[in-house]
Amino acid sequence: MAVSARARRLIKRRSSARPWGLWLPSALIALGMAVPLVYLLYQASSVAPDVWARLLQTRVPGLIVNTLLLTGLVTIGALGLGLLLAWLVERTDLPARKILRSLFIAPLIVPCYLVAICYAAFFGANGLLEKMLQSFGWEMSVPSIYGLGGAAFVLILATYPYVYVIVRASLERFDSTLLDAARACGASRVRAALRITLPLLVPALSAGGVLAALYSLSDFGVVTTLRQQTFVSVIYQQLTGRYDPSAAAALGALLVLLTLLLLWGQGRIWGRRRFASEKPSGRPAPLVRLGRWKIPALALIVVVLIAGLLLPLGVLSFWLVNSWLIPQTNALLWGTSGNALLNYLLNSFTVSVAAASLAVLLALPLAYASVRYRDRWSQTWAWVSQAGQSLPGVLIALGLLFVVLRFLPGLYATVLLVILAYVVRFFPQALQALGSGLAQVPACLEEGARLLGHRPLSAFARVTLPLLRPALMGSWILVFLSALRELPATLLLRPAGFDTLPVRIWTAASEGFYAQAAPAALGLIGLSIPLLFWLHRGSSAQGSVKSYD
Amino acid sequence: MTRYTESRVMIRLEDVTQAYPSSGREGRVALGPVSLEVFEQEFLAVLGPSGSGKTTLLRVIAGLEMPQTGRVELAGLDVTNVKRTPPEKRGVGMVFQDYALFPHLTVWENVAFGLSGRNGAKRARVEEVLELVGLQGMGDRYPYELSGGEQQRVALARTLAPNPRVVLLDEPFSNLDADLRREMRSEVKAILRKLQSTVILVTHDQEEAFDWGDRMAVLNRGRIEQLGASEEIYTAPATRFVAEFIGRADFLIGRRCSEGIETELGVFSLKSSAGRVSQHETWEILIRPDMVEIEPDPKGGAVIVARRFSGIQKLYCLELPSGQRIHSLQPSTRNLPEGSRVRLKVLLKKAICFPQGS
Repeated sequence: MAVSARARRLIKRRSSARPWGLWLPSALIALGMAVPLVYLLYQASSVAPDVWARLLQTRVPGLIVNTLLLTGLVTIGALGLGLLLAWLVERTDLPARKILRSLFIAPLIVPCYLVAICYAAFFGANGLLEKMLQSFGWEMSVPSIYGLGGAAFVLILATYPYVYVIVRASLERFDSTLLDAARACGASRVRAALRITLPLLVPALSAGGVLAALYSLSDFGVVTTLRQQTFVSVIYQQLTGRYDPSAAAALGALLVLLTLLLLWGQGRIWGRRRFASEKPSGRPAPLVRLGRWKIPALALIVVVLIAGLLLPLGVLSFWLVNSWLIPQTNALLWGTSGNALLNYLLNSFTVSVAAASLAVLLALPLAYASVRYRDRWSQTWAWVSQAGQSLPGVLIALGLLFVVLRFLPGLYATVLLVILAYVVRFFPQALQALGSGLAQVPACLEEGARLLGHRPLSAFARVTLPLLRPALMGSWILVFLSALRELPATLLLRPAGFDTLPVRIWTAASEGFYAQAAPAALGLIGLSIPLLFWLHRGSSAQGSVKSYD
Repeated sequence: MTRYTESRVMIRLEDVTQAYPSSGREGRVALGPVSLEVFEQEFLAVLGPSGSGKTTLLRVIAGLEMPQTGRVELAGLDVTNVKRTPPEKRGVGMVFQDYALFPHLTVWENVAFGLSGRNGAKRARVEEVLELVGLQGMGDRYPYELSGGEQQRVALARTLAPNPRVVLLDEPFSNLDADLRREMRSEVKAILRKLQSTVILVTHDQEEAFDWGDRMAVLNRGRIEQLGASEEIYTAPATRFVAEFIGRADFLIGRRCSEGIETELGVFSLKSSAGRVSQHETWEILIRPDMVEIEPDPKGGAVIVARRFSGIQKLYCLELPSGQRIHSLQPSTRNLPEGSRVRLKVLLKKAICFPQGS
């Protein structure tokens, strides 16, 4: 055995003489993806010391506290809620578990900035709730939705599905003989859960927790709508309101640092331990009987589903009906003027299709190089190209803006720049989806084709590419969906008058014309639902989770 | 068998059945009804094909499954009800097929998992058990840093640490390669003998079962087909399944006659089980390759159609005039060419036979 493994390694080393046709494009694509981030850091390093000093003395301490408070609250909340719901669905005798299992990820269909807008309009001053209460003749003060509490609440609703999906997949694959072994060693049910199940869920929890934390670090829509100051919202203000690019660059660099610290911290908690317990044993773990806890559990579920799904959808439907009833808005919305819904829809569609196609096309050589040739360089390129991952869209836009203004001023405020921003921002998603798809196509199939007389490219085209179709489709949809819902980069980079669906929702809502936002919002949700359904249809089996915002 | 007649019964199963719930396994009966007695300090091997209910048998004894019917006793105590006597209260240890080592705990923590009490006593016990299995000094490693054999030792150490009355081994050697398997088996056996444990080993490997037990039980489709000493099971299988499953077997078809059963190789007398013979007309007689003697003879009735060399022995496949084939095991030094004719002699003290179609 040892000999054959060594021989195989030798053969591999000899036969993988670097194919330049693959290697060179990979390197260029990877470096291209990293340019905006690198240039942003370069800009920050050339910010004058007195600007740094001013920022560090005035804005930064409060911002760090605010941002970390929000991130911490959201992470803890999402972990708690996601874990609880996953456990209820997988390990207890909760009724209707099959339906709930997929309902719990349903809040993903509403982009979080939309949820925030609905909440602001519902709970805010002079909002729907207040009007409703007044119409009943009740005068009471509604608790404020603005600030830390409200923003954290909405972000928890937006992020718990990620934790839920990962933890549930982990519970599903959990090797239940470990629990048997613990019981046979004399551990009670509770002790086995605390000493074995919980520690073994740590990888899932930490992955989910990091997703939630990154999500709230990079969130733009919720914090802006609900007026909670974080790095992202302040950077956006620096760029739009007072136009201070050097302050924006400095704050951006600090945000990059914060993100890297978080990722570094996640890597630290493993140590030498391994948690690979995911060997389906065929014996399902026994279900816990909830007994009289069934009622509080169901109550919690009802609250989560109302808060995350029904309330936003209800508010949007209310506006939509309203927009039909009021003749002026009706004419404004559905008329043939340039404001027509169809126009935004077309804009959104065009840029998203372009971005998704370009991202997948560019990701293909890199994914292939990193999966098939596991040498140091191809791994490096894959890593470099993902530099933008987990960084806020605002920062990608900022970096790209700096690059374009300095080197390619002709690109400034063009649709092409918007598309480029999408590609850079969502490239990691395409790369990961393609990579995991490629890893499932055994290399020996291609080798077989080679032995049957096909050149490398022909072997790839005739064998691998057809087998890769689901992964290609998946990564395309993933990027398309993310691009369709992208807000901050679009706001910063779009040419004047070029409105996408999210931009339309955003501008209408920020001017208080909610009725005008409703059709675009429902159109966006309607477009998302089939795509999300497609992406998640296999997720219970594979435990994959997709991140989009 | 006599060795245990005065001994205490450690495990007693009476008419136990266990069916899995409908999810996935369609409410299939996995075990039973099974009745079984295992004596104190006995080594019992349970042999059966996959899906025969071997593992379920262990899980019922360990309290990891609750039988639907029947009664389980440990040292005279009724432990059928899993709620009243949960697995952690039984003093039963189990080594799992893939060891089920806790991947997030070190070797030391794995072994200490089942121990309670003062830290000092705990430490001493863990060191003691690690030494027993030959892993002293490896306590700081994590399971993935160990070889298969070492993982096996950790699993054994973890099971033995709390001093269980009964040790259940669920195909513990099946993940090791052949040489290591034999070595680990004799080592584990020696350790458990020294501790005077009561042990049930479950396996699908005959060699392992023959070598292990004081007695062995053959399990098929959830039922015990035969229980007895290994030699007895080999030479006098109680059912056709056992005859076929244990060792290599050919079945010679014969008809009932006044002296016994008449076949193309002669008449086999059946004094001992004559009573059973009367019922049926056609019978199958168990012929094992080591019972068949062959002599080269140009006028012989059988032809060598194939031979298989396996080191110290050769297995000859012989075709009888009727077209039926039986096998003969010969020392390798004997060399008979394929296609040559031979004379057959079956060395049988007492024929084992089964009604055809049973």
